[in-house]
Amino acid sequence: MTNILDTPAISPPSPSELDELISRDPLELSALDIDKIIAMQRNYRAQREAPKGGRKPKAPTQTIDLAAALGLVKPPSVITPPKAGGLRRI
Amino acid sequence: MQIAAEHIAPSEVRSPFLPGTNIQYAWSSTTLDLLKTCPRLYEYTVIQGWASRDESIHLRFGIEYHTALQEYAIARAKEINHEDAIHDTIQQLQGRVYDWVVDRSSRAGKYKNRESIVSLVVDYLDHFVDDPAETFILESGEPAVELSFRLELDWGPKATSHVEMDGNLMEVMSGEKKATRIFDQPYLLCGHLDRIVTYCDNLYVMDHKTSMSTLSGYYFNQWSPSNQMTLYTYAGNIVLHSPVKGVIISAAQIKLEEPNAFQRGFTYRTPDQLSEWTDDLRFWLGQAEAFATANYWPQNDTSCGKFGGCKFREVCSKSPQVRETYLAASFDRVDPLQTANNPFFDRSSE
Repeated sequence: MTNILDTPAISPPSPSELDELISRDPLELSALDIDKIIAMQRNYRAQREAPKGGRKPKAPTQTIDLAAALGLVKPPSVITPPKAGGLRRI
Repeated sequence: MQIAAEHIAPSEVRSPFLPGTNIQYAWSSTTLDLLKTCPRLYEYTVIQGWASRDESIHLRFGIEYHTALQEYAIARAKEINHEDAIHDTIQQLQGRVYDWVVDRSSRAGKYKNRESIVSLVVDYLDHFVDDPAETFILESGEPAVELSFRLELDWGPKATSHVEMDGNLMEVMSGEKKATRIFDQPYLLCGHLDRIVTYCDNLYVMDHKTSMSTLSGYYFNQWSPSNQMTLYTYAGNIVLHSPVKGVIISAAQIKLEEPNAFQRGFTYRTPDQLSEWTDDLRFWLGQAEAFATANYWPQNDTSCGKFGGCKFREVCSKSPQVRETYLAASFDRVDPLQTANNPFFDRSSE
């Protein structure tokens, strides 16, 4: 069923070098040409597997104490011992 | 159920229907899938031969992929090294696809064309260069790849049956205790097993799949339960005369910008599951005969949205009087006998 939503917005890719080699009459292809097709595909694969443009090293992570930086120093919390009769975790 | 495995003459193409009827007696996983999914889908595809315009691309791509992997597996079984085997495989593949031109502006053509098939085969063979699944070697010494099977069941369409009593052939009569039902044409189950492998000392059928979508757990879940994979396990048991544990789905994802991806998943079948499947089969084939006899295949309108939506959904959503017009406008009508929907169709004849 033709559906306008199925129509790609971009034009189809132009034939690549690999496609050009594959499209040749097999009678005109030598054993070396076949090896070239395989090598070309392996090369494409290696390029695709490599991270694009190399990744920038991550900046060292630092913990910023925002409260201290803003001068909002809180008093240390005080732990009070449980009173008798209170619930106790067992 | 008694089964007889028949050896096949590969180039034979014949009708899977009883002569002069739409009663199908030879079944494949594809046609059974269609019937089980929706009788109307089965009618449009198998009986009438409507096919979407992309289907020839998918079919050709699948055939080339399977053929290439088969040639490579045969070469490796002959102890030819990887580099020489891949060279010969690609040489033969290039010879078959060099003049295959598809419309690359379509989604199917963008993903499936002569360049992507060569790329996918090279990538697959390199990826599994040290394949832990080893091709099983048959008693004949041949590697078990692209094994065609044709299993004859001990029952068939009622239309071809009669009872034999006291040595005379008689009409079918219910309640006749001593009568023996004879089927002139038993049902056949047909198909191709891509490869039989041994993996961790067990036998599996390996089935190659190509996909344009991600190979997630969701993708592999579709094969359990699965009519196709149960039939393949069943057929593997009979063809090999040995217990087959299940099917390894060897899936390849075709990618345009990133490297092609490969994943394998296992799906297992117990003997009881196989038995259940064959019990169910008796009912399904009975239904198929009833539809054919009535010349009516009803819509299963709960299947329309499954698997991304049925290709005939838009047609079925129209009023019955205008459906034929919509079919003709959007689909090609092909001879069903000359497509993979014919269980007697041989991949190598394409």
